[in-house]
Amino acid sequence: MGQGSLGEFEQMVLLAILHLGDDVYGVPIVDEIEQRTGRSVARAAVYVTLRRLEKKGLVESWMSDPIEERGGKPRRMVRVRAEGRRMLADSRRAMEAMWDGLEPVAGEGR
Amino acid sequence: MSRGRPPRLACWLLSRFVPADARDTVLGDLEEVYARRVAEGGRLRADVWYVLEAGSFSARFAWERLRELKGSATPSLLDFRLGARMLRKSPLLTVTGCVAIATAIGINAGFNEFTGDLLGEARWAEVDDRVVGLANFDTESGDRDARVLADLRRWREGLQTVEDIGAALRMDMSLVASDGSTAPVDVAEMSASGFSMVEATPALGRLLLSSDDGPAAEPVAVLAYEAWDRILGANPDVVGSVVRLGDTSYTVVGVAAAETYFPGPVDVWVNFRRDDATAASRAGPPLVAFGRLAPERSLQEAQLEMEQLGARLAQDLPDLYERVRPAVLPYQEVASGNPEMIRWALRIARTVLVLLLVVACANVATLVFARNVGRTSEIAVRSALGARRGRIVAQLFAEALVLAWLSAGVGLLAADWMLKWGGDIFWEAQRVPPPFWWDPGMSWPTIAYSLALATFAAAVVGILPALRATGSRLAATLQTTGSGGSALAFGRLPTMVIVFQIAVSVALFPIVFTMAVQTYRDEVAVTEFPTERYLTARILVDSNVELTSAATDQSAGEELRRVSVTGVTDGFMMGPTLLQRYGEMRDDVARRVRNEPGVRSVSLTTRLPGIIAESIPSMRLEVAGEEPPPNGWWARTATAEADFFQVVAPRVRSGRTLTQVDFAEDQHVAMVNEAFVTEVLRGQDAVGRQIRGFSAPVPARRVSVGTGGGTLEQGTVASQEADPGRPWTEIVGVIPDELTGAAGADPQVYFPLSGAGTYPIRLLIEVDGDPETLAPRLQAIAAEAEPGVILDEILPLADLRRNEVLQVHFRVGIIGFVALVTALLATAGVYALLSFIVSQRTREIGIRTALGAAPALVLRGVFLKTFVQLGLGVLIGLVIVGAVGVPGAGEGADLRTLWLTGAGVSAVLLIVGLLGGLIPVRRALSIQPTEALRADG
Repeated sequence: MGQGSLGEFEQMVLLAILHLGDDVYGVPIVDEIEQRTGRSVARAAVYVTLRRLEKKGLVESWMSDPIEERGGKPRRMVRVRAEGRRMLADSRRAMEAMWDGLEPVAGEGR
Repeated sequence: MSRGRPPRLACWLLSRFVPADARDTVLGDLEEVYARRVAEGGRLRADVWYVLEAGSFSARFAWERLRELKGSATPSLLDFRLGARMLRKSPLLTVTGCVAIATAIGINAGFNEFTGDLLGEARWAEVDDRVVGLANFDTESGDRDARVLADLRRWREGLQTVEDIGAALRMDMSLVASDGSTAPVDVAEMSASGFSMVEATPALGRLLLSSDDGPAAEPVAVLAYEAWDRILGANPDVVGSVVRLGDTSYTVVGVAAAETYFPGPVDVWVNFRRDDATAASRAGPPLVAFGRLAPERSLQEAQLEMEQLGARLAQDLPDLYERVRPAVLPYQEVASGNPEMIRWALRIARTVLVLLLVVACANVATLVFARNVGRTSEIAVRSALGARRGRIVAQLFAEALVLAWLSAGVGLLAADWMLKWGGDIFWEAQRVPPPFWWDPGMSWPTIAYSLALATFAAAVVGILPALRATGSRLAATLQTTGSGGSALAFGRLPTMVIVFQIAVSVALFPIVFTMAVQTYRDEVAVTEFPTERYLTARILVDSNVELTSAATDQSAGEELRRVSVTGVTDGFMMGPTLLQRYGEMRDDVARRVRNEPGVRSVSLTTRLPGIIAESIPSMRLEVAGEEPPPNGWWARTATAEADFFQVVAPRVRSGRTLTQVDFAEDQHVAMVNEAFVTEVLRGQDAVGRQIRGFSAPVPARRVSVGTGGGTLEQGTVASQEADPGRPWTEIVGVIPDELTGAAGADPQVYFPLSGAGTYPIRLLIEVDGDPETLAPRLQAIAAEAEPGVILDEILPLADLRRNEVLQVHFRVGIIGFVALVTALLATAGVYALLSFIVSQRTREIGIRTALGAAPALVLRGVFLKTFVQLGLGVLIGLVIVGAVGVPGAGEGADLRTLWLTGAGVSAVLLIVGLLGGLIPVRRALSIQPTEALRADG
């Protein structure tokens, strides 16, 4: 997957963050994806994807204060950056262009 | 509410694989979900979930890290040039690493090549995989029953899936050519279809034809190209001549093309004239049956058809076939006994040798890591300048690769040389020419295998220390760079490796060294026996005599036992008839030799004087009036006829030699050697003492190296109970040890050879002048003697002795070298460990001295812990030395050499450790207080 396009799973993770609003972390993101797609996802895949998205500059992260309930461990909070939003929009446009005119055919095929 | 903690192992796994910057958040998030799951589904389910998640996270992050490394981790040409430069810069590491890796790779390559060549693996690969073997197996014991003569006909008639079914009988015979020359040969009595299995072609005349099969055919023979060349001097007129094998004359109809190999290495093929139509079921000689899968048929189909045939046979002849499972197998599995077992043994041996490489590499890796520590600043600066971890690891890997490939080259050259040298010794010891496929050089597959091993070695030697050197502490290193310290720690694992290494060295070196010294002293010490005056030969009977005698004994209900004889294909089925016939043949040969001009004396003995490595049976015995030690007394036994005792008479130490009167049935007398007096009788006078054996001889403890003699494989069991009914035997004289070998000979008892005696036995012929001149006459005598006699291993005694000494040199050389490499590695490891540990504490020592601590106190602090580790290694090693002793040496072990060497190695390691630490300590103690304090700030 090149820098210029988003994979399906990357899109899911970005969309989950957007659904949850800013300042979210790994646990609710996984829950959100599972809830919306109705299928379970590998938790580790979400974390690895988050790291990759951050390296690509599509999300930014920062550490929360230590949380006592977590044994003093902080949360890594994430937020989608403008570049991430732009790429999501590009991906959606590309997919819609591909789907354009196919909905009835695809629907009959099912 | 206590919600418990996630499983520790899973947490540990996560902490190893999740990158440091993500570790806390991942662990925290998982712990959060874990708590939720404990509340919802209970602790156990949450634990299981956590463990699975830990595995998933570990795998994902490990993969991610690999992906990151990819691309940046490909070594460049420059890396290899830098690697070559590093070899010059660290000569100690280069030499030590190269010797260690070269030794391990050389041993791997040599073993691979030698065993491959020996088993003719390359030859078997050339046999078409549609060639199959057919065999019967006992359903209970799993043993193969090779008596399949009657089954051949059933298989031919009943199997549609296998064609050209034939069989071969392998035999050891004596060939007498038309010009009277004689030679022992490997014979295959084979169905004509055997040649079509390997699509053989004739070099002269023709091969066997189907019309040659069956009892009505005339006896004909086809010579192997190599045997034709070796025995008949490539006589072009050989076709049409007559050769004799045993008591049958065969017309030579052709010579097979060079390198014809079926059903194995053969000198002469003769036609298969056995009648399978009238043969009794599950009787007859042991055969190898073969065939070719019919077109479009698979091995599985053939197996199925064979099973159906077997089931029908079991119904028709339940007494004979109920416990028999016939099978169709790939040919190799039937041809070479139990190749599956051999293959497994080889696999295990090869794995052990690869482990040897791993151990060697682990040691070199420790040294490399110690060197990397010295390069910490360089690595840290490169990292700070933007070099990714993968890039640095790639460079260090390339450096290791240069070292490993160089070592592989050295190892391969050494192994090539050793194989040529060792191969010559090996075949001389076997006293048969090497098979035609024997190629002592390195083959391309072995070279490729060795290079693969070298690359693996480089991975161990380069990547592991590189990952450690570029690990999470690199940042800390960068901070301290320039202040003379290093944040890298040697770590627990390399330290443990060195403790282990010291223990192994302290244990292995003395044991191996003592074994070498003892072997050398016992087996190479000069014998005073005039070996140069004697010619020896082994007397055997051919397979025809063996098979007919065995058949006679079997029909008389006699029990047969298998005696394995060095250099004889399948050993011998031994029974009273064979012993009787052998006794007559043996005496006939000895009588003929005695009549030869220039022969001074001829004696028959199972034990050649001055030769030690013979495979000779041992016997447990009791001594009248003596309480035996817990394991009993053991002595090797030999039998010889009267002339032998005349040969040794002038050398008798005390008492007398055996004379003709001692050979009467009712005389129970024997001679013993000096070692018997020392070890069994504890130096007391032997003459007049009485001994008796517990039971029949049991297998020899020493492994045969090919000088003949029989080891009893089956049929004899060491009795643990004395037999009060056995008569006592009186010792009448003592023979010097030099006649039974050398100073370290085992206790030995010589009994007079009477009656049928033993099998096989050797001729010991004293000759006027050069014994070699009598050798051709011996072959002629074999030809003139009763058919069925084989005289092989006709050699001057001095040659036998020289060969034995050469083998000892070879053996001692190899084990000595391995011991030396182990010690070298340990020494280098200890030096590296100490110099590293001390240089790590340079700054601390400087500061403590600056603050006024007494240097002695500082030194104690620095060295104490390290010397505890060294001492622990030495102690473990010495405990192993005490527990193992000298393997194979028994009570005659040279414990003095063992412990002296042990103490010596321990002292050397401790001194080297001290020296390794001393240089950095001197530097540390000379640091100016201001310098030390400034560096600390």
